[in-house]
Amino acid sequence: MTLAGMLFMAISWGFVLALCAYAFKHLLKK
Amino acid sequence: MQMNNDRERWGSRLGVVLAVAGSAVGLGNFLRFPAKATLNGGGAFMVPYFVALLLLGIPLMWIEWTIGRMGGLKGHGTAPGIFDGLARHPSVKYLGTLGILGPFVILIYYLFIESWALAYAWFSLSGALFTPEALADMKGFLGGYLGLAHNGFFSGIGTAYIFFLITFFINFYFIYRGINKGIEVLSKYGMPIMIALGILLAIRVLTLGTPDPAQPDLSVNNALGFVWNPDFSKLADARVWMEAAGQIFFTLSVGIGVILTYASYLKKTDDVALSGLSSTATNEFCEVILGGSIIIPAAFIFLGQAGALEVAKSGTFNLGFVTMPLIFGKIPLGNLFAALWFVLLFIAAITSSVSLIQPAVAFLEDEFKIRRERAAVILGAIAFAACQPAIFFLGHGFVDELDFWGGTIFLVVFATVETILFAWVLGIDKGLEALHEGADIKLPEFYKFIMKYVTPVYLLGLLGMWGYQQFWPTILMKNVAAADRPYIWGARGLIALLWVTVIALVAVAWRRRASRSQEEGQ
Repeated sequence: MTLAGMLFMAISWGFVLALCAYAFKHLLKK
Repeated sequence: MQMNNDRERWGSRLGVVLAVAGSAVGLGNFLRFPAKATLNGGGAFMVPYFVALLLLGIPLMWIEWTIGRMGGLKGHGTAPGIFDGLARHPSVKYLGTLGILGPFVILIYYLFIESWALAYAWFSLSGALFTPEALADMKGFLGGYLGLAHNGFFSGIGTAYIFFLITFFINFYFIYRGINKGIEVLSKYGMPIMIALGILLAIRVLTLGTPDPAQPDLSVNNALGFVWNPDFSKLADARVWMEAAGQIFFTLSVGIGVILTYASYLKKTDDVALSGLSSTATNEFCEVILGGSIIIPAAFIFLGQAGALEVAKSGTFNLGFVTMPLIFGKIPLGNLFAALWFVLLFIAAITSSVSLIQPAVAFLEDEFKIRRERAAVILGAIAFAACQPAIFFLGHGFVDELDFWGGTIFLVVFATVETILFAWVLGIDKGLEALHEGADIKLPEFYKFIMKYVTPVYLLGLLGMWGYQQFWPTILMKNVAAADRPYIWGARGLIALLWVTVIALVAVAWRRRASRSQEEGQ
């Protein structure tokens, strides 16, 4: 796996996890 | 505004979010996405993919949640009534018939495919799935199971038909139980179980290390590189951008009509902005993180780069039902992991298939005041009859034809119509006002521009591209053998019959309502 591959995987996973964290943090707080 | 309080309601907010996510998460998340990403630039594919998510997927999700809830408040849970409420032109409600017909057409073939997952889970536990050891044998196993090939594995289609019957009755059991006690219960238990199984399988694949020391290149690290190493040259290819937009479109279950129906069971004060975003986030977790970590990395580790590339090109069914069993055969406790894989696919599929039935049930309930239980029985009988040709004519292109209309063309047309109705007929300001009613989050200001201009243009682009690439070759049956053409005409005839029936029912329902209002007015 190249450095660029790692970067793209990390950004993609990070974006999706951040979206999940944002959505469910607000959802479960209500 | 005429309020209708007789309609069913969701029991909890998490329930509706998981139900919509369950409808969206299907076979495509685990089979279609990783193959598309691998073949279209790896990590670089995620650039057009996320652009399409932000400009097409999320706006469409919000539009459907909003107009679905608006329709539900006026007593309409399906597109004919919802569209009629948005535009007062008498013909608009007939465009909405696609929101009932489309999911029903998909259901006709989806239930049978769903039953394969249940059967293969059983074959994994019984050990029957591991009798074939070579690729050709595994294809023969699937062909024998489906009654398409005569070999030593199965004596006919009987076993497949029994699993279809089981799947069919499980689906209609949940529909019969209703929104709150059926679909919501299924989603609240099914979705966490499915996600847990996905995490377990992803961990299993990502901890395989280098299973064969004689082949040090076939490692997890290189497998992830195979999926994620970016090929930036692909970004210059317009086809890759269309593939990414198509993947976003299919994965979120937008344009089918099911989200409208699910959202119609919300109350006026229920949030749709955060709920829509949450169901999208759940789907993306299942797709990008789980879907990207199981099948293609496993194929790379056990079949090598050339083998994995072949697998990625081989199509959804070969990936799920031919390649994966072979790979599990090479892993310790493979039968257990194979069973978990097929249970995962079955749950992903059933939470989608129940959503495909619900618009038709809601239509009979809302527009003809037929009780849910009775509507479920009537539609069960119609669906059962309609499923038969999909089962017995599978090898003659019948299912492909249903998929082309129900699973591709109707979706894009429907999504384009609802976006124009929301952003241009209702008006973007009124639309966003409705979206923000009871909302727990505020949409960024630039989404007004995106929903009004960018999303419709994206959809028209998709419609034009698919029309150009697929419409005429499919209409003219260019790649269909002469012997299969009568079956294709049969599929078209079935779709036409169903469509005419839905149009006629809409006409009758609206005529009845008009005469009722006239009587009340006198």
